[in-house]
Amino acid sequence: MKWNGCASNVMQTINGWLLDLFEDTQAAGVVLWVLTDEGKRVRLHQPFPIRFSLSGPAKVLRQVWRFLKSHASQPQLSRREGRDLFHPEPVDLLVVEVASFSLQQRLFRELLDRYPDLLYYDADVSLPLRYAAKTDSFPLCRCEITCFESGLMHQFIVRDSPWELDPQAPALTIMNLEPDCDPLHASPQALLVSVAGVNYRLSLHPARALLINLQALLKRHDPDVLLTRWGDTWLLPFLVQLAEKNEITLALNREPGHGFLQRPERSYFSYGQIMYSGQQFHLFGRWHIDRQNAMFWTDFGLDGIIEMARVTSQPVQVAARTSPGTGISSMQVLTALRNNILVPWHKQQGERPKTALELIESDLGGLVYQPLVGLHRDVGAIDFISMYPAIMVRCNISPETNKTGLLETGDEPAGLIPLTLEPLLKKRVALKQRAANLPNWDPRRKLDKARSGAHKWLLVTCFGYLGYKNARFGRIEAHEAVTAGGREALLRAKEASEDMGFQVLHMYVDGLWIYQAGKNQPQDFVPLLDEIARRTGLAIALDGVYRWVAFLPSRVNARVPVPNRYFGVFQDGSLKVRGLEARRRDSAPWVARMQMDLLEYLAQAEDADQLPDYIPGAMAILRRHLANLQAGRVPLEDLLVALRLSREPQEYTVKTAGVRAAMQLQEIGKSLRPGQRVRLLYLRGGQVQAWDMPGKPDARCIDLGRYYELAVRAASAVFYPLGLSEDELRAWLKGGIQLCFQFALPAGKRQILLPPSSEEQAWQTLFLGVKTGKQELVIG
Amino acid sequence: MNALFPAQLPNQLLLVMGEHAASHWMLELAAWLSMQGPVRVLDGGNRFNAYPVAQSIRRQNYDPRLALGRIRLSRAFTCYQVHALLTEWPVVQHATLVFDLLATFYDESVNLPESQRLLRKVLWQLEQLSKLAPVVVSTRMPATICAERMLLFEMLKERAGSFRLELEMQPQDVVTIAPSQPTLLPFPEGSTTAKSIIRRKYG
Repeated sequence: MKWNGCASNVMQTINGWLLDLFEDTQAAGVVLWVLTDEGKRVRLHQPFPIRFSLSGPAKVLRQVWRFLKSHASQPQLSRREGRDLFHPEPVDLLVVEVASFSLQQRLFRELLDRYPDLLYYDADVSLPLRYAAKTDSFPLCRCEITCFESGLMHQFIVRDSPWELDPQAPALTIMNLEPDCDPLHASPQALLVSVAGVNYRLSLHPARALLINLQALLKRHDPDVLLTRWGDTWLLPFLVQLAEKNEITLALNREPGHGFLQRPERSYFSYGQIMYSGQQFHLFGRWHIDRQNAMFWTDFGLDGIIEMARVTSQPVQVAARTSPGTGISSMQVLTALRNNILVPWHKQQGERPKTALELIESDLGGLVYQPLVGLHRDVGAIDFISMYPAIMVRCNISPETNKTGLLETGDEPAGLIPLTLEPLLKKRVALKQRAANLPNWDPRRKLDKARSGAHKWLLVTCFGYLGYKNARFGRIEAHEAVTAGGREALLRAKEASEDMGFQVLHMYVDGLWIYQAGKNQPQDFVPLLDEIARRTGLAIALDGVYRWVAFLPSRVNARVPVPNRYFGVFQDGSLKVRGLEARRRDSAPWVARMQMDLLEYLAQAEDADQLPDYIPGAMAILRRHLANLQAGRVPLEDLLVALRLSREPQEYTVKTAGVRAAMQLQEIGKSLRPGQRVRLLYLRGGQVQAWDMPGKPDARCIDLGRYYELAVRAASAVFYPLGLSEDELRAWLKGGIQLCFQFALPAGKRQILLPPSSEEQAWQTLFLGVKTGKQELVIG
Repeated sequence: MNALFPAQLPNQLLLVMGEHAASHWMLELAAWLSMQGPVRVLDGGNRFNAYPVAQSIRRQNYDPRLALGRIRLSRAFTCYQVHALLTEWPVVQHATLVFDLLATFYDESVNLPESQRLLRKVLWQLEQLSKLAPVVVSTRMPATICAERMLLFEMLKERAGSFRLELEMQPQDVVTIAPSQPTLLPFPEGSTTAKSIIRRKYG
């Protein structure tokens, strides 16, 4: 892409990576910060006019034309036809072009107020996406730039694509910043800084010294990334306020003289659930990423965030903080812009009328076959690779395309959604295949895993986005077509499995758990996978062969199986756990750790036959954890329970533990918003204490009985499928009995456990109020 | 069921309010109407569930397939879609049910003046429809995170010909709250459950 400039005749060529892009507040256009091959950080400017379009009755459009002709923003006006995805015929448009992004935003709002009934296109597309559509750029793209010495850009050429498996990566300078404690919990006293391998501890008092030292570090290292904890919600706003108060310059931005972008906290509904998003603090010229506020930091870290930004073309700071749904939406908008499809300001089309009978037939969601509760050995887990996106691509499911037969391909040109998803899907499959062949020591494994994690979330979301309220290119019928394809694929897979002699133990949307005596090696499943791929046209892979896997029943009714609540051990000894306390975000860490300890111990059994030999050891682990609790050796932080609030505390009729804790915080002026989690401790007498209250709670007040209950429940989920019920476990823990039980596999084997040691007897006296199982067991 | 609903609904805009946008009552109404003839449903809050409707129809020894085939529905996920659907719909002589009308207008991603503007249009459209056939609209109060949208509910209430409150309450609450105003719809005889239906008629 070329621009004409006349500031200076001396031109230079720069090779490097695009680091940041935003609107220039000094002159109309955009600012680009580029990290050059020589390691320099270069600021460039480029004029970048912005267009949007209006459509409506010709009479009204003529009025708009007249209004804009004399408008202060001096827009360029033209008429042309455009393609609205939801209209079969081209749409007559009035095209408005202005010099800068902010001007366009103001003009759009003004027009909207005056002419609310017109249709607006390409009106609220972000600046980075517009630039990406025009130049094929994306964050950290390799680029070749020709520019004048003044920094005015002449030509911008992108040299790589987001779909490359091994893109050339720049060496980013990262500065870590964090307070010495959680500011929500206590008042920080120091700022911990780490950069270029050196750690600094800067006291917050006196403020002048802190600011001068921090500014010196920023100037010396000129970091590309400020990686913080609580940076959005506390640290950066605090530092800026401190700098203003002390009248000291603190250059958090790399862009000189630029303000900060602060987005307020908010609670919002997403898929019927109330969510919370903390306030955000964005920088210009360098990135600020708050690990506490980055949506998937724990899942895939900075590498995954960068990959998310690269494939969605969202700025890195945005990609770190927004949901994958926003990422998918950005990708769709980009595809539309690049294919000259108009991006509507909002979706107008509702569902085509259908009868209630048709609704029953079409609106069914994913297919689930309840599992056969209990312990199973030599189970193969197979699942379709990114099933829903694969169906969307294969069957060309998009709002504007015609419906094909179930899992059939059509002759129509690819629709907008398949066009968007196909390269992402291909990249994910390629990374998965490569990961399967890379040795464990290969450094690419970690990177590939992070990137693959980012792709996974995008692909998982893309299906839901077809039916999402604010998806510009969504359509509920397309959403239903995908689930119909998914159900058909799963049924065909089930038939193929049964035709080849496998027993289907469980099916869950895109995966099957199957068993056949004597088939316990990966190659035993290859013919079946080939057959399923042939019957469905979709790629399917072996997730692994379980040495043993346990499907759990409902806690309320042991005869009712619960889908997707299981644990198992693959042949390589790795564990897979779903739906247990160890995976839940509201579990106390101590309970989750205890459950994982049990599972990891049991996972050492070479096969299911050996499991009974490991039960005494597992019981000892449980006893050890309980003894730690009793002796006060469990840190209070590990007993914290994090409960989500779905509304304001005073709105609850029943004052649950979470509500009472939130009210405690409210009384001291720390209010929580709906969607936020409140951390609390259970205290004796049915009381709770919010963790973020001032002062440390007295450890003697902790309701050990409550935690004992939680631990026994969690342990029971592990022991139950082995043949030991919760009542039996409780009775045994109370002591004084010898336990005899029937081990689930192999049938008839009996395992006798010695009574617990005397330390457990103490529980009885310590928790007289705790109700436990009453079942008396026969001495075996 | 016959005790729950009158022999004929009046040609006006009837507003029903309650927990979950009085969905249970609305589904019963849909079942009852579908046994008598065609019904049109606009679902603004993804509340319509065909299974309880089918069960209700079956309880009356009526053919569920026949009755369900008479219910034609469209779901809207944004207030723009609500408006667009009402604009596109042909004028008909049979009842229209709108489930959880305000759900999409409570959406915080649409600014409040814009929601108000669209709601005004939608209410006008519903009023036009109600001149030919009954239009029953269900709604609920806004959640606290969008409490400022209470005025949308007030707009709707002002335009409604009748208002019905459908609440799950304790029996002792009924004594204090149950008004003595004339009822819109007959109260079910011999109700023994804690679920009480309280009706109020406005204006």
